[in-house]
Amino acid sequence: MCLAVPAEIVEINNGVATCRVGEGSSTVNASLLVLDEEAGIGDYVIIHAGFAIRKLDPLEAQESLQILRELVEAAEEAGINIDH
Amino acid sequence: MSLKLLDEFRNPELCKGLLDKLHSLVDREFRFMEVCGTHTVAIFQSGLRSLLPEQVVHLSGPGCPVCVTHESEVNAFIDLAERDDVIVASFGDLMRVPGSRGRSLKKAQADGAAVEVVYSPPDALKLAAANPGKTVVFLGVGFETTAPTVAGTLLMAREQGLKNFKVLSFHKLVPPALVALMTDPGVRIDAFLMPGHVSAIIGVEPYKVVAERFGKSSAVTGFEPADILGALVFLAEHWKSGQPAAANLYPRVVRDEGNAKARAVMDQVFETTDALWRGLGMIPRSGLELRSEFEPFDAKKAFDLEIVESPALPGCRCGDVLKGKLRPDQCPLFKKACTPASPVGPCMVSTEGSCAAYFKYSMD
Repeated sequence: MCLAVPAEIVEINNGVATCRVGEGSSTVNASLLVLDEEAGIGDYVIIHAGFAIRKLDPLEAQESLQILRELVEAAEEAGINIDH
Repeated sequence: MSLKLLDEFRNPELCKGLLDKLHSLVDREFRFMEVCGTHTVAIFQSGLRSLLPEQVVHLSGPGCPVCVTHESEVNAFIDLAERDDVIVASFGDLMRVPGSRGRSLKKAQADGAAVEVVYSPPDALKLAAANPGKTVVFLGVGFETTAPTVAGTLLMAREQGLKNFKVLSFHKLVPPALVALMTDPGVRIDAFLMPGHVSAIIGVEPYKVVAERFGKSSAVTGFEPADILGALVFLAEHWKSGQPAAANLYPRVVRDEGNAKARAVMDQVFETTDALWRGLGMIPRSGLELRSEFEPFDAKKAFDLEIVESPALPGCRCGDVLKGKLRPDQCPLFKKACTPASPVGPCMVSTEGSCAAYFKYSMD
């Protein structure tokens, strides 16, 4: 139920953002009322029940991926490779 | 930026590497619980569950708001829906949940009650504006992710001067339920996956108690396979080393301190109260009710609703499933009297319920 999806802001009117979902042309409206950071056109926000609850941070996404990859590399170097 | 970056969290090689690492770490039974219906579905749907090491036991906790909505709360929803002067607006998830009298909102709707499914709380405001002769009651269920959106909607209603809009709040809070779970002597859990979007609001701080008081690690994480596997590796490492920790492994969406503005909106409208959880019973200060300042919008006050604790549904073991004491297939009703087409308990009703996910995805 706490499902939330990232969507790109294409327009902002009166504290309500029109956001593009996925690569298609469908849009959804999201209130910016509870967002505690500045959001503008082109930003991705996480939307839950008609409200943007956080801006998606692409740098953090990169960094998380990097950490996961390094974890796997370290494990491979240590000789961990199991057939499931 | 494009969202293609996020596809990398589904990269098969990355996931295989993480899975190998997890295999290398777990040498005895390791019981982890997720507390989020979206995690339940993600773990089943991605096929991860079938790939996990045999000794890794996946438990679905009280993380589906629909599943923990108490029978007596559902009775109150139905009582309201059956009034001629009321239109009930609800998230679709609640429609089929049975109350203690075996009735659901769906059945009440079929019998003529005015029940409208909305996708967001502000849609219920439009409904109120379009129906000035009726009172529109929004059924407020959900955790800390949803409560700020309902609070925000109430602020909009007040600004718009909508007098025929009310909220029946049965919102619940995740951290008190975790404490209630951990203090139950029959519960065996080694570590927790914490809900990604609840944590976007509350941050990581509330989970520290799980490590400090109960010695169990927790990781906030996202919903892609690499998110979940990375979190399990982290949890297994800390479980093995005996050093409990609370980590935020979903920083692209969750800041350690959460979303202060959302919490402020929630606090402006709601205050904590004792709440009934299906299967878990009464948990002190685990629910949200409207502050007295918002009394004109409070459906409980407007309709003088008294929530009477009703007995559990006969034979239904949802409570034990939610505590991780019983696997869905160990319930005597599972796949027999209780199926998604004809559910007895809420864990089978919600698509995010552990029984429904087990029914749909489990081959055994």
